[in-house]
Order: sequence, then structure tokens, then C-alpha cells
Amino acid sequence: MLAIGVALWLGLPLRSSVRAQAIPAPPSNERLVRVIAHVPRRLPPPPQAGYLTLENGVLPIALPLRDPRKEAVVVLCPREGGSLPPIASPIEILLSGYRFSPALVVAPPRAPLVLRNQQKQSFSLVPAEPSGPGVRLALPAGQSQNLQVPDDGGQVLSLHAIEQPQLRLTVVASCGPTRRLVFGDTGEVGVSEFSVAPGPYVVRLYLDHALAVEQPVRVADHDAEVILRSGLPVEPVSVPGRALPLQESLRP
Amino acid sequence: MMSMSKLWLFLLTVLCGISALLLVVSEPELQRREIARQEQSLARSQQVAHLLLKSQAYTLLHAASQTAADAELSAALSAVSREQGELPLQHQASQAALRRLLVSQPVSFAWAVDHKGQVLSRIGQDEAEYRDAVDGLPVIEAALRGYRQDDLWLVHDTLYRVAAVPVVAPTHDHYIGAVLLGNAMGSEVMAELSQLAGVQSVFIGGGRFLSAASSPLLSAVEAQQVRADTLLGLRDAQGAQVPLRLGNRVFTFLDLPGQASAQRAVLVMAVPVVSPRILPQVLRDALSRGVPWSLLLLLAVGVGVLYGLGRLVFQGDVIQLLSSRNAPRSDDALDALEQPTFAGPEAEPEALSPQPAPAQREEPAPAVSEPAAADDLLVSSSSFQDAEEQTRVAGVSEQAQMAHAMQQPEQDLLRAGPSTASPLVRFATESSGLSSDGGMTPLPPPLPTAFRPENSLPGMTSELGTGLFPATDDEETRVAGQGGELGAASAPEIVYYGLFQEYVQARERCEQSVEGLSYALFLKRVTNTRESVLRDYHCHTVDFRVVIKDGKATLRATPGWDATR
Repeated sequence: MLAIGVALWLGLPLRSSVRAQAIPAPPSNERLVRVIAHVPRRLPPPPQAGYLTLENGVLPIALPLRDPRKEAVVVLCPREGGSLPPIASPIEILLSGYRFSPALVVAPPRAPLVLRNQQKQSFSLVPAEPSGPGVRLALPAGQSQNLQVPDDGGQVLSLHAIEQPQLRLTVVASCGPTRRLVFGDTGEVGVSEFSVAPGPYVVRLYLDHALAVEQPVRVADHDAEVILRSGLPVEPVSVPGRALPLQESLRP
Repeated sequence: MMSMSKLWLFLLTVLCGISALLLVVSEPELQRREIARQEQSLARSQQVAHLLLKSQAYTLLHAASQTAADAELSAALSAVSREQGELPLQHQASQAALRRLLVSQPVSFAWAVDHKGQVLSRIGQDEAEYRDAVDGLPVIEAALRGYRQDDLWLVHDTLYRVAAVPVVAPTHDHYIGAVLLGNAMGSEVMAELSQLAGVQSVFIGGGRFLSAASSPLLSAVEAQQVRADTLLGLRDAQGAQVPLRLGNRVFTFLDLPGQASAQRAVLVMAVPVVSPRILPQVLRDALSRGVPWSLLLLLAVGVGVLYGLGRLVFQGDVIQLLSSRNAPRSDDALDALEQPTFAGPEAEPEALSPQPAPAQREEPAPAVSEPAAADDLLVSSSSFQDAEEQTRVAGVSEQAQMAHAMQQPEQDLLRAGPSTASPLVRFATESSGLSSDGGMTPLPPPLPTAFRPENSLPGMTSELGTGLFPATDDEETRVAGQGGELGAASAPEIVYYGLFQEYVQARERCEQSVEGLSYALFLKRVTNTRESVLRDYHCHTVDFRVVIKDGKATLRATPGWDATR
């Protein structure tokens, strides 16, 4: 009943898919928030590159080598603002195999970044989105370049190489704690856990260089569980404390 | 004749002027049509270029598929995927397989990629390097999933078409790698496009003309100092292609797909125009397709006809100029010929037409111009009878009318014969219808009483009878010419009365009305005409004859010259 009361007090379930359930509270003042993101495995055909894209007629289509879901990032941003501890050491981003690793970086604002080009080819990075910051960066072969996370929280810096448009880097200025999704055996449900103080928050899921899901949530005296669904229709009403079939898949 | 030559020159000048005007006026129209032709040709060329590039992509993809099916290559990649054997050995084996398979393929480079997306071997470029990851490339990533895909790369100002296909394990249960073939695009594409669509083309990428794409179009646009970004800047608000027009050339673009599109790689096409002028180019193109001999022959015939006509006109003009010293002006003669002299009560025009002057000047009519013998006169008279239109002519000379005015019996006058008659009588005999053999044409019936002179001009006959036929050769001149001793007022009335009779009878035979036709009017008109002809032609005599032409009776005046004067 208490959980139902908290949920009604939050007023969230009316138009969201967020479901909260009481879990054992941590010993400190912080509450545990578990974010469960349901990201289905998809096998989209590759984008059309040239003139022809033909399916192999011998074997079925396989999964891509790199699963973009494994780079998904969850950010729990407090609504009333908050300060994140600065990052002293720069975050290193490698360019090898015609990929950025990691391709999606979520870091506090003004955090230093280092781009290391391990390819034998030089690249020119330009904004991938017209509305983004107008950062242009030359990345010579075998050299490094320094970059900084945007100032404002939530701001996204997306760059791609002119020479290889698929070579894309997305930098997000985080506004709160950041976690990566940990996928289970089924590979379609990822879990992230946060320890935050009670209060209103916004859960954001960044997936494949884009903001996939954004959902407000209020953390009360008890721990909560937030379920996000990416790429699926949002359920009309969710009641905290109700048994969730998805939890079955999370059990080891 | 002079006016004809002037008219000919005028027409020729007008024709030349119209031709020049047509050239000037038609030049913009020809240019517009040329632009429209280029645009239509380029619209077709875009489709042709798209199909050509797609066909070449399919060809390269097919070559990559054949390479991926090689057993040695598959064995090497399978060993790498199972982590069996030594990697350098597999590298050499796969490289040898690639080299053997692609010895006859026009490829620039080829890669063999293992299941992890790392290069196992290369040929063509960086052959010593391997184990580097390329799985981030879309075509490699797609090939490792099982797709066959092509792409366009723009690397170091060179456009490459690449095709990647998966390599299936010998057990046919999983993918063990991929094969990528790359081929530089340039001259062969432009040559095929020129052959198929008849257009010049050049590749542009990264705001520059691609070095591997040297073409006549590149030389042309560089000669005009047209930059690549200028050619690329012609797009509307929606980013759609807008044909660029520079001078009389139209440029169009074909966006290239793939990764090269990020560097704004396009194929620029234009219809070749050698000359900036359209008309010479049209003629050159027409001749390049063969000489139209039939048209040239027709043109030559036309020119010959025009030249002949011009020569005829000019020759006649020269003759006219040479003979103009002794001849009246043709304009005057025409005026005299065209002057209507008699009009009946019904006001029907009846021409009093002198014979053409030039022919008579070259060969003067013997009947009036020479005091020849009666035989000559008769011969001359027969020449009139030979003419079809004069078969019904009853020629009446002035002298015959004088004889008739003396009220001598007509039969007696004719019986006198040409040999015994005086020149005037001989002329009258000739003109009265005697044939060349001395025969006699039927005389017209007697004149109706209403038209006798005494009824028209009472008392004229007796007075005119005296002194009407002088015995000298000048009588003819005096009668037909200035009058001589004849009374200025009385002689013509007597002389032309017989002619008047003939005229009235001819009109009656032709069933033409004679009401209101009086001898006084007839005499006045004849006298005026005679004076006009004498004055205009400077002739010595004027012979009037009644001629029935087209069913109507008319009078014809014939000037004569006396060679002895």
C-alpha cells in the first residue's frame, strides 16, 4: 500500500511506462534505483551503401559483430539540479577498425576527452547533426586530439568523419550519475542500478548515438525499480509494487 | 525588259536579305533548341549513367562472389576462424589465392577479412599489412552478417567502387570471413558513358575534380575556369539538382551513393559542343553523318536554273540596250499595245494593238516598210493568213479604203491584180484579202446603209475623192503617215471608211452589238491611235487590220518603217 501511495503521489503512472517496486533499502540515506531497460534485439538490414544490397542465399543473416545495445548508457538526472564531481583524468576514445571505441560517451560537462587515431588514415570530424555544436576536428593518422564535453547537461556533441560517414562519435554532457546497461542471457533486458538521494529525477537511455527513452521518476523513502522500454509502445498505466513478468528474466 | 531585270535583282536582293534575317532570327531559336536537346539528352544520360554504374557494381559484386567461393581462400579463412595453424601461413595462402583469382580481374585492390573483421591478406595496396581491423566499414560489417553489398569510397582524390561478399565455411554452417574487391573509377566509366549516351562526364568529389577522371569535359570546364564547387552549387532549396547552364552548354549531375556521397561526390555530365556557334556545329554534325549528295544535286540544279534565268534576263536587257538607239522605249510600246481603242456600246474593250516592235525592226514588215513588188506584198499578206488567229482577218489597208472611197467597184479593183496596181492599190489588194497565189478571199457583205459615210458624214465622199491617189511612192506614206497632199480633215475619213465597214461587219459576224457605233467615233479613235503609234514608234506607216480574236472583233495596228528613208 505504501508503494502504491508513493506512486500515486508521484503521479507518474498515468502516461508512462515507468514502474516502481519496493526493494530492500540501502543502509544509508541513499535509495537504490534499479533501471530495467527492455531493448529488443533487432536485425535491421544494413543501410544501403552503394547500388546493390543482396542477401546471401546460403546462410541466414547473422548478428552484427558489434551490438549497439552494449554501448547503451542510462543517466539519472536530478530535476532540481545537482553537481557532479569533476573528472580529473581525461576519457580516452580510440579510433581503430573504423570505429570509435567507445562511440557513445556520457561524461560530466567540460570533462576532457582524448581522441586517439590508431588508423593509418587521417579523418576530419564534422558535426553529424546540423543543430549540434559546430565543432570541427582534424584527426591525423596515428595522432591524438583533445576534446571537451559540452558545458550544459544533456547537450549532445555528435561528430562523424567526412571520409567515413559511419565513423561517428557522440558525446553527451551528463547531468547525473551514469551507468551502462548490463544485459542478461537473453540479451534483450539490460539492468543498471543507481544509489541516489530521494527526490525527482529523469531517467534517460542513450542508445545508438541517440536518446532512446526519457522518463521522469521520483525516488521516495524506499528503493525503486524503473522499467524502460525502448522501441516498444509505452504501456498506458503502470502501478508500483505490481508483479512484473519481466522480472523473471532478470533472475539468475 | 529593263524593269524585268530590275525586278530580278530586287527579288534576289530581297531573297538574300530574308536569308540573312532568317539566320539572325533563327540563331536564338536554334540555340534554344540546342539547349533543349542537351537537356533532353542529359535527362536520358542520367538514367543511362545510373544503370551503367549499377551494372558495374553488379559485375564487381559477381567477381567478389566468385572469389569468395574459392576453396583455398575458404580453407585459409576457416583455419583462422578455428584458430588453427599459424596466421602468417594463412596470410600467405589467402594472399596467393587472391592473387591467383584476380589475375584476370580489373581490380585495384582486394582484401580477405576473417570472421572478426580483421584483414587476413591484401593485394594491390599495403600487401604486407594484415591483422588490422576493418569491421567498422559498413560493407565489411554487412558482409560478415551475410549481405553482399557494394559501396563507393573516395580516398585520396580517387573514387573507388568496392564490393564485399561473405565467405561461408566449408561446412556451410557459419560465416568465416569476407572478401572485398575495389576498383578505381575513372576513365573507363566516362568512356562507356560517352559511348552509350554520347555525353562527356567527369567525377567531382570533395569539391575537386578527381585526378583519376581526366576527360574532355574536365578540360572544357577548366578552360572556362569553372571550379568544381561552382558546378556543385547549383541546387534548389530542397537540394534537388538544378541543371547548370554555362554559355550554350548544360551541365547536369548524378549524385553518387555510398560513403563518397558524404564528400559530395557527383558525376557531372554535359553534351559535347565543339563550336560555340550553333549553325556551324549543326552543319558539321550533318556532314559528319554523311554528305547529302541528293540534296547537293538538287541545290546545284536550283542554282543552275536561277543562273540561267538571270542570264536570260540580263541578255535580253543587253539586247534591249543595244537596240534602244533606233527603237522606241518598250514602256511606250507597251502602253500603246495595252491601250484600249474601241469600245462598243456594251463598253466591251477591244484592243487596238500594234505588232511587237522589236521583231519588226529586225525584220521589218515588207507589207509596209519596203516598196517591194506586189509579189512580196502578197507573200507578206499570206503570212498574216497563216496565223491561226488571223484566219478570219479581212485586212484593209488605208489605200484600199481610199479606193473604196472613190466608189469604184470592188471587183474591178481586185481584178486589177497586184501586178498592175499602183503601190497603194497593191497594198490595198493585199490587205483586202488576196491570197499569195492571186486568189481572193470572200469580201464582206456591203455595209449597211446606216453606216455609209454619207449617213455619217454627209458630202464627204465626193470631196475626198479628188487627189486621193498620187502616183508617187509617197502615197503610202502620205496616207499612212502624215497625210501629205491629203486634206488634213477629209482624207482619213475616206481612207478608214472601208476599215470601218470591215469592223462593223466583223462585229456583226461575231454577233456583237453595233448600236451607237458611228463612223465619226471610229474615225476619231483610229486617227488618234495612228498618231500615237506614229509618234511613239517613229514609224512611217500604220496598218490597221480587223482581227477576230476570241470571238470578238478588234482592230490591230501594225507600225511600218520605210527602209528607203
